[in-house]
Amino acid sequence: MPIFAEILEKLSFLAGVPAVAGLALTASLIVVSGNWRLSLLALLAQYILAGLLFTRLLPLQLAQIKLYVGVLICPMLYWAARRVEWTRKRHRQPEGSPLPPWPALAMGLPFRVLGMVLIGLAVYALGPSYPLPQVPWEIGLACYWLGLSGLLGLILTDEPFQAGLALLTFVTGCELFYAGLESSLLATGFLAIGNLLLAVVVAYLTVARGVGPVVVREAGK
Amino acid sequence: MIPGPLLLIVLPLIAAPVVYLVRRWTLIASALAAGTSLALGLACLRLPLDAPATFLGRPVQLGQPVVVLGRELVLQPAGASALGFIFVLGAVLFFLAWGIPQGRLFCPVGLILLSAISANVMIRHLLFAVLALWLAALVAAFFIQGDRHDSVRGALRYITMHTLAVPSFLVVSWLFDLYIENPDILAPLRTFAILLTLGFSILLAVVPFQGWVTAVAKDAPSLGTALLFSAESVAVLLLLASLLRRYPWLLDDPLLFQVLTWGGLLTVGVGGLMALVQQDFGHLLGYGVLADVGGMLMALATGSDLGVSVALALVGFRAVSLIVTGVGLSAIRRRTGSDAFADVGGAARRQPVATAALILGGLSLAGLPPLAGFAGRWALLDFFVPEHTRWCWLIFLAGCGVAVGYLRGLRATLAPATVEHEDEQTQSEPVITAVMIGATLVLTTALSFNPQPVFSLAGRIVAALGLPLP
Repeated sequence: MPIFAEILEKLSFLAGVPAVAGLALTASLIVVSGNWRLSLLALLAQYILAGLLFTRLLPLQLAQIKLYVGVLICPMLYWAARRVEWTRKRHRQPEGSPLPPWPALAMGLPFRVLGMVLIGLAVYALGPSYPLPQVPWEIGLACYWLGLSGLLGLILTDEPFQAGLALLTFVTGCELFYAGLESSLLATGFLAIGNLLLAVVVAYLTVARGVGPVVVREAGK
Repeated sequence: MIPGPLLLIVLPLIAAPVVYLVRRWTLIASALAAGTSLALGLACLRLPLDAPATFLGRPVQLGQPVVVLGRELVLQPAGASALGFIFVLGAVLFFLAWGIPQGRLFCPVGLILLSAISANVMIRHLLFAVLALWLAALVAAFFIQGDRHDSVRGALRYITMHTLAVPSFLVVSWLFDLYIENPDILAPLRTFAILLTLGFSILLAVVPFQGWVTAVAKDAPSLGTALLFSAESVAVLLLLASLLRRYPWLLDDPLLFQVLTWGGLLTVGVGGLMALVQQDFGHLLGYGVLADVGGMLMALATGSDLGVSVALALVGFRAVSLIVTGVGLSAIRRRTGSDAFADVGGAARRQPVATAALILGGLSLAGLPPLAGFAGRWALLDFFVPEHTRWCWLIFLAGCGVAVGYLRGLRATLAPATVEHEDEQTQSEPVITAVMIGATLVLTTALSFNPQPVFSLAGRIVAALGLPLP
């Protein structure tokens, strides 16, 4: 698919601090946002921006694989979220979103924003003190930001859709770091399969969780 | 000539879609899955590794290496024994799934899981072995979730923790490659130790990374729990042992074994204490497993051939206990729709055989005689006496905690039936289910009187690994 190579080449001027800043924004949105469409859009943007950074660490063909995987993951999750939304609307469920409201005020928007501020401070402290080996400093910052944001997102929710996005964010951060260490085709391929399978599992769990109550109620009738 | 690694990875993958297609006919699906698994298990245990043999009419050589994209897969003696155990265990569980249904995905996904675990055992490179284990965990999420709609916690925690374990192994693998290329630029030993300790602690469910065990025990079909907590434990133990065998200088930093020892003690304590106060059989099973895993870690952390042998034997006895309690739990969950103590009133009268299996399997997990788990627990206590008498007391008390938990459960099953289950009092258990459950009960009792097959298999694996470590 030359189109992806063209996109990566045209956007290559962003493959530095702008992409890192963009990744910080997308990861924050994934953790903070309660709107599943916005979160998913942020994930897509995250994969594109990470794809740009991958071009600095990997041969273009391998960076493209990472981008393809991201571009495949987002529709999978979109389909799962839409299915939950449709099913709930059809059965007149009040919550039409696969992302239910925050479970408690203590975990609400201000708490999440505060959490992201703390992540920012942690990255600011960790980046210069413990620079990651084999990757440029700004990419090291992106790795820290994605990894820590993903962990924060995992801590804050039990919902498969939100937790899945956080887990994918964490994996992207780790992959970005690992790309600086190892650039073999086999490792990239294995990680790509793992990412796709992870997304399939997240989609499956999202549907099971979202559609489940409706199925149980229908079975009861 | 079919090389062994190809056979062990590809055959389950070929069988899985066929089993999925015939999933509505549970007898055919179970028989096909169990037959495939049993054939591969017997091949691993019986066929020679270094000479050609015949498997289902085709020439094979199990020990013949295969190179895939520059990476070698080879079945070694330790791996053959371990995979033999895993495949035979899989066969038993798939067969039991005929009489005690475990969800439509259990058999086909179980086969894929076995294939991925085989790959993990046979790949010589740490990175790809760990990635194969990750893929196995992701695949397992499907049967953990199964047909449930009320909770996704088990599957979600399982994939989350296994995903979090991967990065540390990725970095360690890179450091190993660096070391192989140039031994002079060895990274600080402490870096290896910290990363390996973190990764293995998550995979082995050392406290505080134990949350996924109880969540899986609560949510997964109970025979699936038996498969996961046994097959994966063997694979991870084998990975750790072979790693230490290949890079013995890792032992120069005692961090990993210290964490395994103290983490094991903590895990035993947490498992026993929490089992005491559970209000449902799912979580009770999880904490019972944790108490057992803690003991296994403590034995493993000695690094001696006997310690590793006891750790592997514990996994074997745990598998039997989990099968017995699992069949009982499945039957009760199926009838009652819940495993909470508050909901199982009348189960002992309604399903006496299933209740007996549930409680006796649990007591076996606790290490009580005359059940299979006792043999393993006795070997563990015998191993630590007289040097670590306090540890023995902790292990004993943890076993008591698990036993008391199951006795509380027994009392709940003896209580009068709740209103919604009163009308089911007259229904008896299906004969085939009762026969299968009865057979597992006989198995656990027989194994307690003759535990030698499990010990000898564990001994074979340890001998093949070349332990003790230098």
